[in-house]
Amino acid sequence: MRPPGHRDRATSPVVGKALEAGLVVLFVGLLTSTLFGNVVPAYRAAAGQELAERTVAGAADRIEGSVPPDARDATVRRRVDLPDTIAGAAYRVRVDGRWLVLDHPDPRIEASTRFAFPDRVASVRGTWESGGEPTVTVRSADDGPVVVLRS
Amino acid sequence: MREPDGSGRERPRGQLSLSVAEAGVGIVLVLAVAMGFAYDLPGPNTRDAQLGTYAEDAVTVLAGEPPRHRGATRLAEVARSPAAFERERTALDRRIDRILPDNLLYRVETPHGSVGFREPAGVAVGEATVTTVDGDVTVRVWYA
Amino acid sequence: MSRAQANLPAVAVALVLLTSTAGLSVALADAAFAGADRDPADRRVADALSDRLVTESSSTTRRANVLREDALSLTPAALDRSFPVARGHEVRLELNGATVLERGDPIGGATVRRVVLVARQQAVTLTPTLDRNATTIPRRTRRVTLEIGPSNATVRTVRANDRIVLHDPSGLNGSYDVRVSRFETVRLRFETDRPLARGSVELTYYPTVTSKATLAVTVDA
Repeated sequence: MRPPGHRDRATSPVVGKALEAGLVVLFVGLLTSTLFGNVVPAYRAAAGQELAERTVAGAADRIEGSVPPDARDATVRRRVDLPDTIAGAAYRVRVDGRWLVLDHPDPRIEASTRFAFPDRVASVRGTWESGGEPTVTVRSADDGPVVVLRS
Repeated sequence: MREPDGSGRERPRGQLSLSVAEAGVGIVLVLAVAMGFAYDLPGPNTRDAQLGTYAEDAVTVLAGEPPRHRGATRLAEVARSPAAFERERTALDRRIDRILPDNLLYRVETPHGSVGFREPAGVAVGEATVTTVDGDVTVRVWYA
Repeated sequence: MSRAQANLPAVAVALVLLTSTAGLSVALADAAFAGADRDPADRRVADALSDRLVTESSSTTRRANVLREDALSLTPAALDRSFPVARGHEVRLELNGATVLERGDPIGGATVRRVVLVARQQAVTLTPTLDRNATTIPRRTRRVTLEIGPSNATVRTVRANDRIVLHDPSGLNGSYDVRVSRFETVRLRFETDRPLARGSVELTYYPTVTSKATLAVTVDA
């Protein structure tokens, strides 16, 4: 026979199912918010950082390769391929002294590399905006080749 | 579900196992996606770039060497005429064999003929060409 | 009812299992991401530095891909000065397997190999026997130093392979450095009023002996 007051021990099935459902919804919500709040943006930024490093290295290689060998006094105009966006945002590639620097709106993404020009290169300047048509132009001036980046 | 006869015994079937089964399916799905991460990415293709560099270097060295008899440089001499090529081919073969590292095989192509090893199909090959006044000389290298 | 009661802990256990699986997947993803890190800077600096070291106009080379004999006996500071691309990175330069320069420990960095010649220049002086006021330089050389002393004849012009390289109407006397073509055998002809005696001209030529080598540049950015 049922002991008296047994109804206090158990909850009704409906409430039980509601608890289960609530628990699952809570779990899903917690997991989603954790993933999309912390994990996914962090990895997106990390992947963007890798892409930025590779972009800058490739761009610097292309720019250095555009300088014609010693004996020639030619003007070179060369188009360069850059990714349209990094981590979903437009970015800028600029020259800072003898460094090529990539500026990105996300503060976690930053890349730069030093140029390896021959000594005779007089100066380097210019900026590239992503999404344009980046070109590098090498002109010969009195004191040596001048390298200009144009979008 | 309680037996209608009130005997108090419950059927243990289908109670706990449903949630655990659901959880099991969920775990399998999540791990299946995670297994996609377990594959290694292929390394960057550095062999091709290195072979190309070797070929460029070999061509640069040969193009800067004085000829054995006549011509502007050693490479120009070889490209000058079929007779010159025939005369110089052995020396060229020996020279480029000396210059390149031992783990590389090579083939030199001139307008009048080729020197070197037979090129296998399906291997990565580095190539460099120099233009002389009598034609192009191409050097191709690959790992032995 | 006991079913509702028993299911709740079951759900809780199931959710804990799922959470730990999700955590495991994120850890796997992290490991995969770290393993995929290419670090393009390594390869780029190695490529650029090796290019700068073997290029024609470099301080380490006589001409393209031909290194001077002691070109690579640099200190790391000197390397930084001449090749600024290497600044701030760990570098190792090897010539034919022997380390000639090392800064830091670039294990795990990128290596680029170049085929080069190492040139050793000698200076050979001889007093040539002049056959009809001419002599042939035995080896190919880029320049010749002529020591023309006073003698029975006045040397007015010197030709190298029919190209006039020295000329003085009042007679050449002294030490002259002459550039010649290293691509052809050079025959020096002295234009004088009388046949020259042996001993009036002394010449020094500079043959270079080259030996092949492999230059390996390893950089860990």
